[in-house]
Amino acid sequence: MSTQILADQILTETSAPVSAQPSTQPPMLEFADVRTAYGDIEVIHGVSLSIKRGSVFALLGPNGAGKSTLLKVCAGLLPPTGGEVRIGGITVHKPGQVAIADELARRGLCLIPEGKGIFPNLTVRDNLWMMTNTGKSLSQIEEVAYSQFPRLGERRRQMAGTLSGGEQQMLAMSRALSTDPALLLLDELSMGLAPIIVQDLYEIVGRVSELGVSILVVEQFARTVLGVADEAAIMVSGLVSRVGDPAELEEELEAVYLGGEH
Amino acid sequence: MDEFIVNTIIGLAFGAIYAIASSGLVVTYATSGIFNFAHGAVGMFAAFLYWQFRWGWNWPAPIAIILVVVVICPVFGILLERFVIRGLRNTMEITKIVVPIALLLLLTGGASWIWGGTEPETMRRFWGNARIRIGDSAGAIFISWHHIIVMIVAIALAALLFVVLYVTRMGVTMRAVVDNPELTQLNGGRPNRASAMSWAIGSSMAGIAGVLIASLQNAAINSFALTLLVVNAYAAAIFGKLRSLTLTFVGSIVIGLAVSYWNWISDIGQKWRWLSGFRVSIPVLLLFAMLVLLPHERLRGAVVARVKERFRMPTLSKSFIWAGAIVVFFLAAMPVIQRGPVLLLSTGLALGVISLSLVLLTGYAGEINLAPLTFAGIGAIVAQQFDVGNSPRSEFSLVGVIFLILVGATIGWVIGLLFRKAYGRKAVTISTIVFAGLGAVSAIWLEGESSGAYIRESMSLTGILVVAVVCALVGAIVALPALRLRGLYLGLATFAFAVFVTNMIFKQRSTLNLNIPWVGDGEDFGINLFTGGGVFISRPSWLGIDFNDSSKAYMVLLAAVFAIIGLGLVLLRRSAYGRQLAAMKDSPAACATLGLNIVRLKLSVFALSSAIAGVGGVFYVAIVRTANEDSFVIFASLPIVLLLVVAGIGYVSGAFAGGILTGVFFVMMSDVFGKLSADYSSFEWLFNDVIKNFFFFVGPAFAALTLASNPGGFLNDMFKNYRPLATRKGLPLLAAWGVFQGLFYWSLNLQWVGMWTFMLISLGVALLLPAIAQVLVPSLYIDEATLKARREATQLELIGIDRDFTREDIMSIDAALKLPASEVGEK
Repeated sequence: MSTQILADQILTETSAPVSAQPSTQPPMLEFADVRTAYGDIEVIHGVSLSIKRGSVFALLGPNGAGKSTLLKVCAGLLPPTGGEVRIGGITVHKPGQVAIADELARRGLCLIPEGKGIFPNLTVRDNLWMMTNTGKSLSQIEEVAYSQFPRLGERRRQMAGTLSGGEQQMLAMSRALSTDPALLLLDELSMGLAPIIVQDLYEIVGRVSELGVSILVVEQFARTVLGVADEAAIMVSGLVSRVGDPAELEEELEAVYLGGEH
Repeated sequence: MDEFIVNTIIGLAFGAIYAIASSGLVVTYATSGIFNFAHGAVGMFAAFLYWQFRWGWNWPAPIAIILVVVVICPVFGILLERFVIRGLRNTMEITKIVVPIALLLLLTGGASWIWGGTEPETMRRFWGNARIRIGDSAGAIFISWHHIIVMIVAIALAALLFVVLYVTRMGVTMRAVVDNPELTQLNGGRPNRASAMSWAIGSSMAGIAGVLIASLQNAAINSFALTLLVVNAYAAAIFGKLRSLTLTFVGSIVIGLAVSYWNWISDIGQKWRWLSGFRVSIPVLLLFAMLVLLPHERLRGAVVARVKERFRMPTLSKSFIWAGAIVVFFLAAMPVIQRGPVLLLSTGLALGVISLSLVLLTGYAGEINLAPLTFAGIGAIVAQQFDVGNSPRSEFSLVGVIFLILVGATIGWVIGLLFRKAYGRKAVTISTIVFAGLGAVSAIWLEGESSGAYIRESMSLTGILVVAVVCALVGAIVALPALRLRGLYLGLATFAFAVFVTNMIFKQRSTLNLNIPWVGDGEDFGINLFTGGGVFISRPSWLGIDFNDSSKAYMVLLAAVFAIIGLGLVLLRRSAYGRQLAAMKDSPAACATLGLNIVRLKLSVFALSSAIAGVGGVFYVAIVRTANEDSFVIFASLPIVLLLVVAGIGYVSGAFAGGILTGVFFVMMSDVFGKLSADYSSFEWLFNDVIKNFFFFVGPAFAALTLASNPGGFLNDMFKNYRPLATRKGLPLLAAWGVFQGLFYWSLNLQWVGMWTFMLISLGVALLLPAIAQVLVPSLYIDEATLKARREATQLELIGIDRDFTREDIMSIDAALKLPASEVGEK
């Protein structure tokens, strides 16, 4: 229980601009030697990363590297088998002590999962209604969502599963925009979408970031993310192989995907 | 016209109650993915509680209703969700089906226990028989207030449910959980709370339906009948595809009206005697029809791969040892055992044979059949017909046989056409062949010269073969929906089949007399179903032993039959066919892409399994040479399925243990405590009222509820600790145990110890064997950590996934494959 109260304190003091006193503030999100496993099989073998307040962090890597799994651990959907996850300097997950996912979500952690960030058998409006668990009213959420994405407003009574891929991703992104999260985790935002839509979506990510939200983006291919990222890392086979400036990493990506050398 | 209106209103009232019950069912299924087989039983139990409060203790009706429907039912639903349903996530389909069934038996057993006295619990309608009059005095129609209230309540509840689901955030969350529980959490919703809420609502609606329908009867209530009455709501729920509340409502009304109109035109079953069971069969017929017409389920991939259960492959040598051990055990028991235990053990063995049919069907192939006893009953009827009734006649007229085959083929062709749209042209071919075969088989009875009633004094081997063939054909017909359905829907289809067969066939007390043109000698053709309410089968007389003379010999015969069929199954499991079945269980989609003929696999495994169940049924009846119409009802089938799953449905040993549990253990326990209470009358309340009744009424259900925590069955867990004993190190200990047991048996023969003492001590030593071994030879048991390390070290295929390839790995693989040292290795 205590972890949830802590998370509450951390996440509700919505991030001040980075400029304040970056040196004294602990990073927004910190993975310290995190390990996790599906059943007997360990898939993350000790990952350490830290995401600064108000920054955009891009985590790249090939299929099966463990990126999405790392996000699951962070959101409380999968318990770590080793190490710690700290938010705002305070431990929220460690083996045997995991904050509950929906508690964290209500405190301002927003994970938009890969490809299926919506409820397909609920209408657009019902989908937005689900976002009210975070404390905002339905009318506030609808206002933000429909003004950002007018097309959703036209389809508010339609089943979300019948929307196009891009519209579905917009609906999912509405949660990031309208619920005012403190920490945003995006999983494969670009998957299965046309490049032009991906560009639009990353513009929105940029805008969300300007509001002071700390963002961790996981991507497999899209280079677009490197345009908005402040920092980046490459993850391969359950380990972070490289952390650094997005521009530098861009060149190394090719080697990772083609050579398997790390 | 007046009658039409009255019957319409009665139909609407029943439909309204079904609507209440079925929408409750839909709500719980939609939010948890668990089909609540106990839904009807919850309604039944609520009705009994209401009776207790209202008529037993004479409380005012509003208080009784509120207590039952608003307090007790929702709290029960919440507790159920928390402690039972939640444990069922990620378990095998059969476990998800069996645990709610355990609950059903728990509630029906509980109701019989509490209210099973001699005094009938009579329910009265609300407002008694007060009625309102419509129309002028000449053609007035009277409608009871109760019927009107029922309809108003149904409409009000439907509106309320709609508001809850679509106008509140809790409702949205409940619907969201159906789509994706994880995402619900990510949105900050509380899936567990939503799920608990839906179970509270569902139970409450079941309760309302139960109270309303029980009072509508205006008569004494019966726990099984009432449970089945609410079960009619299953059909309506399936009509709404377990999702749409509107369609569910429509389906309920259709069922209510159909039953009511049938009552009207058939004069409450008086007009056509042999169709008297049809009224109760209408809902299950509709259920069956709707299941068959459901759109084809898409082939699923390896969703089962992550379930908690794992079944190992049986080894051949051990299977032979076990088969021999079972026969030897019963042979050894022959001289010392008394008549009572002989009959019990025989029952256990016969039920074990019937259970084997499920080991094949469910354990190996992953298909579900909730009604093994229905096939057993069909087998019994066929055996009686063959051996006792107008049995095989000497001369066949070729014209008659060809005629029967043609009739069969035509019927099959027409039925096949009905399924053609859903299953393709193959259905027509299969059904034509199957029915033509049935026609050919029926020739055995229909053709030739009548020799009059002919009773064999013993069961014939031919009879057994005919039973196997007929049951296989029936099984293949029932499997038709199975070609497209899996899991729950298949379970429901077999459930419906069982209720149908019970009502329409097992309840036929008079001989069915038919006269078929061109066939036979012009005499009426008679089928003995349950003539006079029973079937009669003699025991066989094989190998020079007349088993009719010796129950003990028959017990050993049953053990041998079990051992032979069990061995057959093990051989089958290890054959290519068995591996295909296992593959189909894991992933039908993968099988299809590999070019396996899934239709043939499913049909054959169903046919084989039904044949085993039928043969088992014949041996089962022959124990006491007779069975009555209640021997094969669905409520008798369910405990067998339950205890088999508890014992481990994936293993032949599970069938043995399941049969013994059902046939011997629970009966024996209640018997023992019944006797104790007779001896110690001051403790009668404890021995008789509590312990005996516990074992008798709810024991099996309780055993099955443990599945939520141990889905693989307890037997496998027990055997785990015995396995090290079979190694070289454990052999001396095993031998010592054998010598001890032999000497002990000898002392029993000399009557130094009594039967019970012998049984109890033998059982105790056998159970303690692993513990003794652990003390005497500790090195036999390896601790978990070493085991895990060993497992990891040997899993070559996981290197590279589990951890990275090291230089050593690559070099060792190269060496093993005799390759020149690879370049990567050189790096």
